[in-house]
Amino acid sequence: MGSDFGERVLELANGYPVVRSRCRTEGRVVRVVIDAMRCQGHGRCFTLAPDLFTYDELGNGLVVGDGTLNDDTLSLARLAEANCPEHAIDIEE
Amino acid sequence: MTDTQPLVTDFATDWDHTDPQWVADPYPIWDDLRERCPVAHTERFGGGWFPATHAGVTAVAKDTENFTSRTVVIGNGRPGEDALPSPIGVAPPITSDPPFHQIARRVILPAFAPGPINALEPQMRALCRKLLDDMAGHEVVNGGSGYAQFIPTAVIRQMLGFPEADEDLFRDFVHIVIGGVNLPEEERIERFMPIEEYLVRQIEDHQANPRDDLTSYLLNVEVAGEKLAIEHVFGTIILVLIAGIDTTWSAIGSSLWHLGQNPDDLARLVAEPDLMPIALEEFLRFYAPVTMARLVKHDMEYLGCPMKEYDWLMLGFPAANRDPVAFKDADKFIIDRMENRHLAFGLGIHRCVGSNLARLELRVALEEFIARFPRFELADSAAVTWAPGMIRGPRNLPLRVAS
Repeated sequence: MGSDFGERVLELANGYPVVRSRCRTEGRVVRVVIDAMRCQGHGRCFTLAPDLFTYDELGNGLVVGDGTLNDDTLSLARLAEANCPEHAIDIEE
Repeated sequence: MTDTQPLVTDFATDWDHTDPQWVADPYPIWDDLRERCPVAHTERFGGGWFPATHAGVTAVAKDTENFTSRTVVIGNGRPGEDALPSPIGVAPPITSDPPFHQIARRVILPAFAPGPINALEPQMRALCRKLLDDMAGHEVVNGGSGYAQFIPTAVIRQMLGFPEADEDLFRDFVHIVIGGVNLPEEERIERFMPIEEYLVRQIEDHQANPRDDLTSYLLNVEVAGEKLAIEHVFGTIILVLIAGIDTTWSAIGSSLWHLGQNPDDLARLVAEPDLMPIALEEFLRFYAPVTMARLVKHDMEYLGCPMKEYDWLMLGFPAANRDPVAFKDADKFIIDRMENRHLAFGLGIHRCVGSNLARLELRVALEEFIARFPRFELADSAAVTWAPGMIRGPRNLPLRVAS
């Protein structure tokens, strides 16, 4: 799964009201972070949005780079947030 | 066993997950309990509680102060202070509590992280294709005992590095281990004897001839400069056998069962392969196969119930996944559900260690099946049988793949 998957997920996600209505950075600096204390390695974030998230040697989620988001990646970050069973993903605005 | 138990008439006060009604279709029971209780009680199994809500399951799963994982499979009686952790011996880390839990889990997580697991994909695909090749010419195939069952059994044998020539023997052992979980202690020990001897032989062979597999990994991994005790290695291999096979087998089977009755979902998956990672999570939510148990650590009032030390607490992840408070249209299978914080792999520190493996097996098994049979249907719904107990999935699953 490469960026084709990312685009497809994005397309699906943009049809999803919660994501669509909140997917504009509008010039603000918006970052996605994973709370390592809450992450239990379900792997939902790096499976859904492999361009935004990766994993450590234990399989716990990691943010790629500094987590700064644009309009497109914000949608994917929202999607990951909406699928984390541990509520370990936060989007800081 | 509960064969001699009377049938349940009120699950709120007398729940029994081995009752035929529960085994056949537990979902209406859980919906009813959620409305009425929402924590059900039983005097069976020595006494226990069953929260049917997402909130109740979440609270217990994250609470290692008031609940212990010393036994995670409900047995017939009340496990006392001295009872061996279920199902046999120690199976760390699933039967561990903090602080030892963290050590035992830290040891095996790297072996089940996405990197090493994703490397198994080509051999998984080859395995599925061979099983499908063997179905050629058949109008009706068994998606359970002829397909879903074989996949995790072979994958786990390969991961452990046990000889391919032992495939049939290994499968027999797996059936005994899985089927033996609810047996009385003495019978279980007797039936496990040849398996224990086999596993000890395999471990000794790996000690003499280390290689690149999970058994050698467990034998060589070090914690604070020390290798694991041999009982720990043995226990973790047992855990992999118990937790890694009928669970995934059930998930694959339930998904095929669904697709065999929902041609629109099948057609959509065939037409939109990119949907699979999202659809997988809905299969896992809707047909979550695994229920776990905890023991109450001390007398207390919890979720409004007077719980007593060593009462069972049945942790119904599948019931939590159907709670309408937590999931919109919880009782509907929505193949492109975009918000899906399901608990199929548990929650908190005991999140299924094998979740990356299970997800990959489920994906590959479904992708290969629908590539070979883009149209199939349930051949005989009355012939479908469901595994009783804490792992739910279809065992006999006749699918018509050609007409």
